[in-house]
Amino acid sequence: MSNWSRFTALPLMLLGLGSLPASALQPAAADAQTTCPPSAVVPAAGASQAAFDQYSWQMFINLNWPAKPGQRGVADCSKPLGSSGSTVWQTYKSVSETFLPGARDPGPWNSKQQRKNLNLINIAALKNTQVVQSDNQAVGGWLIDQRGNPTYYDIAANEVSYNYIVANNFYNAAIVDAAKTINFPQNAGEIKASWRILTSADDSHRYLTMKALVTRFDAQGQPNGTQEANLGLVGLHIISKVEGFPQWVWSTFEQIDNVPPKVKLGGKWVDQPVSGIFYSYFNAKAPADSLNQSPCLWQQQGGNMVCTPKPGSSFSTPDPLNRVTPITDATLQINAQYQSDPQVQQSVFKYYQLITTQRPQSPDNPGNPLGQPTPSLSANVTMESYIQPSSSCMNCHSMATPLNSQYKSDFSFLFRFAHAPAAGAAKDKE
Amino acid sequence: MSILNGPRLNFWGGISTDVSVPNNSPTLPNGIATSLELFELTTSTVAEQARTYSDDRLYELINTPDPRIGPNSRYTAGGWNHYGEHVVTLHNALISSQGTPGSISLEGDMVGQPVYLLGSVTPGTGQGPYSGPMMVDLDPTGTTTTQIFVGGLQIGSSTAPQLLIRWNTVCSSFDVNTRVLEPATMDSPGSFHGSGTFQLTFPLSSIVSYNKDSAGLKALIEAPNATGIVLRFVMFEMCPTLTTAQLNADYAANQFSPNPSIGRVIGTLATAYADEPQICPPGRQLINADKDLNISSVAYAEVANGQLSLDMVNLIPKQTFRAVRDDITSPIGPNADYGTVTIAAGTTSLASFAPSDPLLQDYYRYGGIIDVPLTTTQTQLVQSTPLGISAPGSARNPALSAPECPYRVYSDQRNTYLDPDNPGVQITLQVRYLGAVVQDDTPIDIAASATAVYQANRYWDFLEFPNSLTVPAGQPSVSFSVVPVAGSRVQAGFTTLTYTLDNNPLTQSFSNFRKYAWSDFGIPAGSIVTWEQAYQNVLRFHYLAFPAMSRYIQLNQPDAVMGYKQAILARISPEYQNTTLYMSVVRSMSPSQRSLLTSYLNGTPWQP
Repeated sequence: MSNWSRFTALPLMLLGLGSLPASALQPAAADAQTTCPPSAVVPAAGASQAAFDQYSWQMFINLNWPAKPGQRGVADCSKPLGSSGSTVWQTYKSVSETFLPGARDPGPWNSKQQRKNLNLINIAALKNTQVVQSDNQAVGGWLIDQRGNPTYYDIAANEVSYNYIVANNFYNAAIVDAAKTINFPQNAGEIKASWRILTSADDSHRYLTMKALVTRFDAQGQPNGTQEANLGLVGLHIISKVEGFPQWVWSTFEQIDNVPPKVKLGGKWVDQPVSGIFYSYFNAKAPADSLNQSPCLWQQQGGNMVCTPKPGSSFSTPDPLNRVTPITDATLQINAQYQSDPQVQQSVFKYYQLITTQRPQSPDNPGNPLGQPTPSLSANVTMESYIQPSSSCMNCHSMATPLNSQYKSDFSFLFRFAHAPAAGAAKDKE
Repeated sequence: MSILNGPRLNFWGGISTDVSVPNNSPTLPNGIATSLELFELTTSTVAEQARTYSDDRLYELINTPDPRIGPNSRYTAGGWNHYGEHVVTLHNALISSQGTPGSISLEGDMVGQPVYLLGSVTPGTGQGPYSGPMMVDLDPTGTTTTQIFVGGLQIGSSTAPQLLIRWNTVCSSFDVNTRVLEPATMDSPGSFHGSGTFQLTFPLSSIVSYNKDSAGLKALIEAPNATGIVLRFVMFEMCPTLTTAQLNADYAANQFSPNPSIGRVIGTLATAYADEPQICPPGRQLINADKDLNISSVAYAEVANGQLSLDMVNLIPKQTFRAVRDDITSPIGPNADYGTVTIAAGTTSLASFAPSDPLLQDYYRYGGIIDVPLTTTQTQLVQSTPLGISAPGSARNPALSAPECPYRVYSDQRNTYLDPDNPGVQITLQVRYLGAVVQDDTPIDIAASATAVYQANRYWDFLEFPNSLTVPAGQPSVSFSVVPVAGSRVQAGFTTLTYTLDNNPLTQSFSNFRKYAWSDFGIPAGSIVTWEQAYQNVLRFHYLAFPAMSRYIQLNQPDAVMGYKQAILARISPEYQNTTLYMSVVRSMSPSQRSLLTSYLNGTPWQP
């Protein structure tokens, strides 16, 4: 924290960024921390899964606290958890607010929030593509829920992360592509959210909801106009760069109706749907070999791989999923603890669950710089749908570079959204 | 010289190695008595029989609990670790003693400092390292030797390193000593009994920085005639982290955790001098080859500056495996009690050590090296007489006898990779008699054989070389050429050349060769390579054998592979070949496979 000449401790707490130094060891059986101002305490390296899961829930609550109107990233402690209005993380700067066409300076952090306009259905965001523009929707593959609607994604950065990007002009693809050192400061944070369209058949009380303009798609997955939609949050990745963890800490949450829980029966793990629940992405009648399969017939167009529907299906054909790796008992216990907390109980967040927290077991061994990702797998069914058996946040993100650079970008794929400067325009910083 | 006769820093601690093992066998047990042909390991492709299975089904079969429960049970059908990344990591390896032969102390300015082996920095950018050293089998079916690719070494923390070396190099083990006697079996592959010994040499030019105020480091680096730093280390008492039951539960829950082998390391850093072997231990060999007990172990000895220095780190095995499976950082403890250990030249005793002697009790704190001061007379005797190490036995163990094998042949060229059109390589063999150059013309026999499982002639019998050589009297070495036979460019496989002196099997050492085959994969020249062709001929083998790769780049997803085109092209390029970042880490891809992958990624017409 001593490096942050622009921040003092008090606004840091109010900003909801709140991760205190890793030197504070979080006891495994502590009470749920659901107060405001938020204070998530990252455990020391080597601490238990339960300790890190508690940290994840604290971050989830911190970030889902209602935000102060007119103050991005700041929790409104006068309101209880679950109050209407944007959450703290919903006031973070999204990639469309950070990386502007022509590489224009996106301006100061606390700019006015615009209406949400979600057009990103690329399930891998821009990791698996050389394409910059996020409106080429067919790249990467999509995820269609059991109502036949696409899942929409949004990615956003917290104030520390955003200010680092702006201070270094890293919203400019030409500059970030030439950068030889990209190193986010401590307490940088990013989120990736996944949303589904809530229909009249869905119970919107079980979701964090948001009205937004969303892109529509034709049967081949090509953009085809926009529409107003009522969206429900189905997934939330939270990544935090905290002291002692240069490889970041990786938390992921899902809405509890995405897919059924798994139980061990006769030595095998099986899906056990709860009677009466409509699962957003699970179809009990789907053959086993159709689960978790990418819908894409990949076509090479120009230098890019474009997703087209497989023969016999169209863009709106649902993609059935199940959970490949059961949530562990340790994590289930922390879920139960936080879901039953009175503040969480009276909010929509009781319908959300932590999948796991991945972190480096040994973040400080020069002989093993990735630090031994623990657990080795982490997958959100709405975001790593088709790659669950191979999904490791840390391994994948360790490959992150800007689009046209071989230099690492500190575990962040944000710079893939950077635009080239407008031709002939001088770059200037307001 | 080197670790035997120069200034030393000794360390010990824990070590892990995270090798993915399903590719250790071309077949997969899929029943009590049946097997599936899974991989063609000479060409790094999926075997014909397995190709009709889906990837998901093959994963299921590989991860199924071993259908053949027994002493050779491998945990699962594919072995004890399917998700390894091949990283070798030192854990809490701390310097425990330092000094010069005859004056090694448990105190000193480097004592307590951690030692790390490093991965390579990224070619071109110089960033990193982002991963660690990598363990790589030249022949994945082999069981007696392996390699470790490294990118450097560090003593001390990253914020204030005492010594930082950046250098891409590779070491390899060459013998398997019996290192742990008991139990007879445990929930682990049988290699828990053995040890692997490795040596690396870093030139002085590879030193990025060192603490010039450290007496310990200055002694090594600023020694007169120093050409570099040599590191010898031994890994032993190794077992997979998880038990069979734990691993099977992990896989059943689709956790797919890596299951690295963990164990002990003892090492020594010392000054390297000119004309010393880079990856072979120097010195005279004393061999304990007790066939009745099926124990074999080796010590090395050298005389200099009035000292007889003996590397005995592997000679005497440990009595029992550690009590706590995953405790690899507690004190290692003494080795087995064989009674008083005597070091002799012929029948003349030079020194004796009772079992309670600190040099035996705490041998691991001294790198397992013992220095015996010699008089002038003793020095002359030692230089002209075979040495021997013996012990009478104890209530628990029989007598130990490790006589010197007077002749020794060795080569730094232990592992060589041959591309299809390789014109041949020159191998240099060092030969010694009682540690000095031979006094008579000395013949060496050279014989070729399969390295391991691939026994059929077509997999190894494609090299031309002389069947015998003579080292002239007074010469330290002799060289010869190994040339792939004409017409062998379509052959792939693994060959071992074994060198024998004096018809004595105890003198044997070897060089291993991996030869890649040229192939057009049946794809017409000039055509555009499709995803199916790239996947079936190159990527699928790696997707199945090394799933850890797909945690970085999903090898079965066309968009991921194409999206990481530049990263893949970089990692298969010559610039990465000698680094720990090469793709694949295990050097499984042939030049033809790299060429096919390149054509696919670039969309250029196929030119086999």
